[in-house]
Amino acid sequence: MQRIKMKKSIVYILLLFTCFFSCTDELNQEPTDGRETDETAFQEDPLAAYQEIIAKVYASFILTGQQGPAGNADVSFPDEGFTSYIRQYFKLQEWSTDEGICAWTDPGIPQINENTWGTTNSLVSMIYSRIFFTVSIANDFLRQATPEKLDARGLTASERELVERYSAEARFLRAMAYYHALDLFGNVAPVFETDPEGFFTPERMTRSELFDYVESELLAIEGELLAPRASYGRADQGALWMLLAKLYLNAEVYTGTPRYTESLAQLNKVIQDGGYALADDYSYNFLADNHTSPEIIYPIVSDGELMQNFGGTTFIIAASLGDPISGATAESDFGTNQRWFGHRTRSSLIDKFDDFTGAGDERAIFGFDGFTKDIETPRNYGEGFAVLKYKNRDKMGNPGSNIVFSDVDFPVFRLADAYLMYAECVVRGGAGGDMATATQYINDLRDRAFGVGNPDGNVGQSEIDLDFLIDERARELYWEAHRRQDLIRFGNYTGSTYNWPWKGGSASGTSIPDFRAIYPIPSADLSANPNLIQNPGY
Amino acid sequence: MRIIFTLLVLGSTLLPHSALAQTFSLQGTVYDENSDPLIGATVRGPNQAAITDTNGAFVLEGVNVNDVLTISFIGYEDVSYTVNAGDNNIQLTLGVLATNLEDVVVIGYGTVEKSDATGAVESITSKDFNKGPIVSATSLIQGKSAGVSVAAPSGQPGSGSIVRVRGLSSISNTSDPLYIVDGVPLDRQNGPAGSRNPLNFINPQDIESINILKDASATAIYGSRASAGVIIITTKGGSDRLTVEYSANVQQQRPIENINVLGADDFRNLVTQEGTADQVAFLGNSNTNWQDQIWQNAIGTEHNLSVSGKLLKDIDMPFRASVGYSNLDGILQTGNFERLTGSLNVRPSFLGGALKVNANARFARENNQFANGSAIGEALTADPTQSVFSEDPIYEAYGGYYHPTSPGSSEPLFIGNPVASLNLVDNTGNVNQFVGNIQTNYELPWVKGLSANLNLALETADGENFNYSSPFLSIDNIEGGGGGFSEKTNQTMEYYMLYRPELGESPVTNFDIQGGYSYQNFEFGGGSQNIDVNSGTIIQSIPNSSTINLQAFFGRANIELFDKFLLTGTIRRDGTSRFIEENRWGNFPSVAGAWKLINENFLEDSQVFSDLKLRASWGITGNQEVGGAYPSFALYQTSNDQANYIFDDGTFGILRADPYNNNLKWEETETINLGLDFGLLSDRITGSFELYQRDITDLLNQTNFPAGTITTNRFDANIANMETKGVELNLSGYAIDREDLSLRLGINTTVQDIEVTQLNAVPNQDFVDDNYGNIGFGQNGQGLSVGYTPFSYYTFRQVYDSNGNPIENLFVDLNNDGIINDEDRFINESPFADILFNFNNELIWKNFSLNTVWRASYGNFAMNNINATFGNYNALFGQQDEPKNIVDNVLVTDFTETNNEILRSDYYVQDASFVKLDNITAGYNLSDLFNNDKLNLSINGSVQNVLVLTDYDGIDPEIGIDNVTYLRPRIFLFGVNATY
Repeated sequence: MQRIKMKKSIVYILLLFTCFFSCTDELNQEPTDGRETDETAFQEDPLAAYQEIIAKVYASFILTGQQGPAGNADVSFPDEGFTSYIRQYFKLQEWSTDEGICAWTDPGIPQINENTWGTTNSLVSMIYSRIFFTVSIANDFLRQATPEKLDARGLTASERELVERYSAEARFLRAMAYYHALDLFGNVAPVFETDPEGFFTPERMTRSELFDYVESELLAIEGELLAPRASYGRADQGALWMLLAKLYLNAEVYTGTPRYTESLAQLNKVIQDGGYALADDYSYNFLADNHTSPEIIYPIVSDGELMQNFGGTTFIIAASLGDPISGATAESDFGTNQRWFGHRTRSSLIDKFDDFTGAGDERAIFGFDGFTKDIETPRNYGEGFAVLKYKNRDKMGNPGSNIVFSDVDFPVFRLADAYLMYAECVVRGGAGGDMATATQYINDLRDRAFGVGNPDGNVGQSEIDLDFLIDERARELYWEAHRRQDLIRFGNYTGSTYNWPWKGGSASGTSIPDFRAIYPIPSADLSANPNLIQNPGY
Repeated sequence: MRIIFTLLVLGSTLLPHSALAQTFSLQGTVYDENSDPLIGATVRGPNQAAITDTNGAFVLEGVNVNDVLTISFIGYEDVSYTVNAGDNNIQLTLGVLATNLEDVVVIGYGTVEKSDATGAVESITSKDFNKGPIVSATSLIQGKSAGVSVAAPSGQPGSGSIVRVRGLSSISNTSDPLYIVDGVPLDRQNGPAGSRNPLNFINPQDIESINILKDASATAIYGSRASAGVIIITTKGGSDRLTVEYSANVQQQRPIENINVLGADDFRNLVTQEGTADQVAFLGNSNTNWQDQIWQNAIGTEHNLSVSGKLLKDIDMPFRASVGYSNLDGILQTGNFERLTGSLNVRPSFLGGALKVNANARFARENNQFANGSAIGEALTADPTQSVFSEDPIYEAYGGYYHPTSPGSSEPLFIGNPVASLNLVDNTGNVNQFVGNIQTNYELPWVKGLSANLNLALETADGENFNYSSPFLSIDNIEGGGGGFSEKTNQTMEYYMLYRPELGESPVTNFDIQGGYSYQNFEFGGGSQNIDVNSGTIIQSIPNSSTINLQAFFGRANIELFDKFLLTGTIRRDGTSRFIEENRWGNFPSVAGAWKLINENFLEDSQVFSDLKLRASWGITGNQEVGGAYPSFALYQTSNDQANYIFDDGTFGILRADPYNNNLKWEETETINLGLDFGLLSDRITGSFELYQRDITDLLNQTNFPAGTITTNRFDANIANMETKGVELNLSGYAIDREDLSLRLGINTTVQDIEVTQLNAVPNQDFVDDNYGNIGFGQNGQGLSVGYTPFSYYTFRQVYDSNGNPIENLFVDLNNDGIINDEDRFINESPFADILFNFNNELIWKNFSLNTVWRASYGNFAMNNINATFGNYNALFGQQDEPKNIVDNVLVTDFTETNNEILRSDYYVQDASFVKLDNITAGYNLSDLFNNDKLNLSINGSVQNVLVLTDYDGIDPEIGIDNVTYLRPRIFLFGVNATY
């Protein structure tokens, strides 16, 4: 009897446990809030999923997370607004040069202003993280767009063609991110879609290996992109030619081997085949409706309602404003109620204009009333003229769609830059162009700047040399995130051939060592990836 | 036939005896240890039995002289009484069963006699709890146990405590212990929106005992979630007679101290001296102490009522029901905390006690009015020469509150009038919480000693908050605000069987074995919606709804040999939905042994030792708690309406591949513990000594991934190792122990050292992860590095002049590269104490009692970020020229500015060792005034946060990084307690 009861209780226990074992299926959980798994994301409308994923790759150059204006951030830093890709790229290319300086004392900013950054500088870390974030999501797109996956997801032929084009665009955007890495950091450890997902330690490339990779990648996808100007905002062949031209223009810096002829070849395509034209007015390239400018080759799109963030042109405009520009003026003239009392320019840029009021060269768009030209204390906003060429207003003077967030697209590449690059390549001995054309291009820009028919702007062929060009690039392209790269290419960044106020931390400017022509690999990544080697000097 | 004959024979032999003896009827009364009558006690004679009535009285018929009576009552020690000739109306007192209260410790899935415990377990019962008004359950045990620290993070009423059992057990995830309330393991991670404290649903008055499991042997049975220690809360149950208890208090909370900013006159002089004409023109003529304008003496009351007794006459069904109500204002004006709690528990037993049910239902409703915390910082910097309100008509559109306004301008700069910030922002949070469970224990009739236990529990919480800011706070008169909600439902089912055979004469004096299964499912979600005050845009957050599932199988065996040697083994196998299938399960074993030295012959006659037990344990516990619910799985995240990308051919929402790490696996904590329990001089002094080492490997921590290998920069990985070593000593005893006068002293101390032993996949001794310790301006003040205490301050080395004053902007160039930048920092001291010391005592003289709780900390450092931020002349003027107040530390340093280096100067890292008198409570029992034995009435008065002795410059040495915070108040209260 006892035995039977024992058996009975064992059965009882086993029964319960059998039920429990089957519950272990519940250890497989999925969210129920709109987040999707690999499978569910592509289930209902695979094309829409691909479109939203490629949109994220594009958006990664300006937005900071999944929730506008802030929230659900892409990368983790104390202030999400700071982490906008173009915002950080802009800072490293402008604030460390003769064109810009910032009043804020947030970590890392004074060191960028004064060229004393170290390996843990947070601005340096942020752009580095941003570049590789874009790389990682572009890789994710490519992993989702393999032929096998496209086969399995039941796309129509035309949909498939579209996704394949997006793949080429993802590769372009990734190449652009690597080009930024090449320019800022030189020797990094790139990651590709064919690499394993998750934690591994990618191999380091030298700067010239990275150059070769970016070049070959761009050449490989040229035929797969849209024709120039086919759809505004998309990475098309015009953008690709321009990026290749930039790559070749700086090849000597990156690899030691000049490639000006190759650069000219790409520039000729941009200028002759691209269908671009100069905007009627210089300022139109920096207004809320600048998407209508025929001059813009590749923009980072911005919209005050649909793309809210604290980076991009919202940042450039708001950080430029503050007393003595009143709140009322900010609203009426700049279409924003934000005044962040941040960046201004240094006298080195102002002095490149004969008349900084804009009465002659219209490209001089500065706030000088109530400002001092010279900077005694970098953290004082009123010292140093404000740069006011970006405005959240359209050509007609109407404000942008939102009083806080800007509609102004950031002009990554525009035709004026191509003209100046053309002239530079010719001056530097590149084949495939001539000085007469170069002179014409430059005078086209200067005619627009000084007003058609005003001979003050005209330059003769003989005046066009490297010294002229580096200054002309400042006058035409200031605050478009080219300056540091340009100064390095012209040999004017490190050393003391060219000093500007607060260069190296001294009010009158002082020499900085050559190693500062590239930024350090952030120590956080060095600690994570033993394949990396710190850039020399750091 | 034979049987009848036998009976007859027996009967005939008995008859003469009974006929000869003098039997009589015996009356008596049975009392408990407090001399209260015991109702329902059994008085058993050789031939008869009686039950005491409501007065504790009994009458036993047919009693003979020299009969031995046995008097028994559940929970009390049996008493034998031999009847004497002439006995009438005898008085009998039953003592509480020694093993009933403090000597039984509650461990995971069961209880154990304290003398048989093999792990480091501390049991604190209601009589040992801190006295006085206590809003949070964990405040009951502050200072009561070595290695357990309880600190209030903030002075907000109803805010929780930060509880650490043996210090940090994690870096970027929670180090909170696991709370088990009446057998229900609570969710550690997701408190409800709008609540200040996840334990708020328990009224502290309802708590019977709190048991703290410290070492792996004790905690391993909770395996997966036990690495940070386990705190088991057991609530009070029903009583055998109807008892009504009411307690109430009224309290006043007072701000203790203001931060030393400049007074109006000094400020005016300084601004006049330093400022430009524009800046000076801002000055007013008032003399306002803005800190006094925002803080207040706050009044609060609390009421608790409980009824306990037996529900039904014939069935053993004790119950207890309680309601509690708190209404406390905060010392920061406009703040209020209101809470209503209710609880019911019924603990019936059936089938002659074989089937025991323990059903609990606990509910809390919390209404919070949150004072706008930004007023605290604004009050430091607001211009003291201005008044709160201004007559100037330009302020009419903003409620009349003064704001700095550029001279000649009609637009106020919204830089913050702290009083406006308090009064014009309405921030409320309402939370409902429910925890209910039914625990059934059935002693299976088929096999003696085999029992089955099933526990079904449900925990729900929903919270909502709403934050409204008046149009008066916006230059464009736009009203701002928003709200959020959260809800969660946690289901628990736990089942175990226990086999504890009765052993005859055997070397094995005790044996039991148990096995069980645990299932927990956590569902939680929430969302929010906000109006942007600048643009008026309504921003909808991305909703979140997640589920986490945990399951486990566990077993434990205890064996005792010769009543001297104890051995415990546990094993738990845990599964979590957070990890992929291959990494999902973790095994967590532990073993522990103890040697009851007191039962050895050589201590048999000891006059000194009344108890002596040596313990040793080893075990591994686990942790799977990392940020999200799905950290190991590839997911796509959708976006809200404000995040899109636009091409000519369309606007698209953005879909992001979220970061994930499919290598995530269980973090493991290995603990070795050596312990000695002792009792001296007939247990007049008792105590324990613990020596332990805890190694956490594969610590789940946020770390930098090699750039590009994951779709973010920092994510969770099993990356770090951390080691903790410590010594703990607990002592308590009676210094005086007389009938009318007793003095009990409790002392405990902890010496502890925590060190990071690995931080990266690649060993790199020099790397410092400085992503910790926000000190404002996006700057961090703390770092992690191998070989150092986690969260050590990471600072520049200040250079001082010959008078010992810091020289502004002069730091030691530690790496000798000619420039001062982040690479010149060094790892400084940490906010964690080397030695913690608790001292509590209780003096009882007749009806008067006095309790004090002292706490001391040695070797903890604070970083005075208030001085670093506001202690310079540059802070005297805002970005728009408006004058702002600064702290008077500037008079010491004469610093003109602050910058990223000064903020992290080691000048501001100061020794913050302290001695605190946390609580002093005096009570008087008035029961003697009433001629009623059943009525017990006492009154008490208490002061909390009484005294702080420290060399630290700031206000609170326990703060770590001294940012602008809601200061802990001093609380005075008066209470009454009545039991009938």
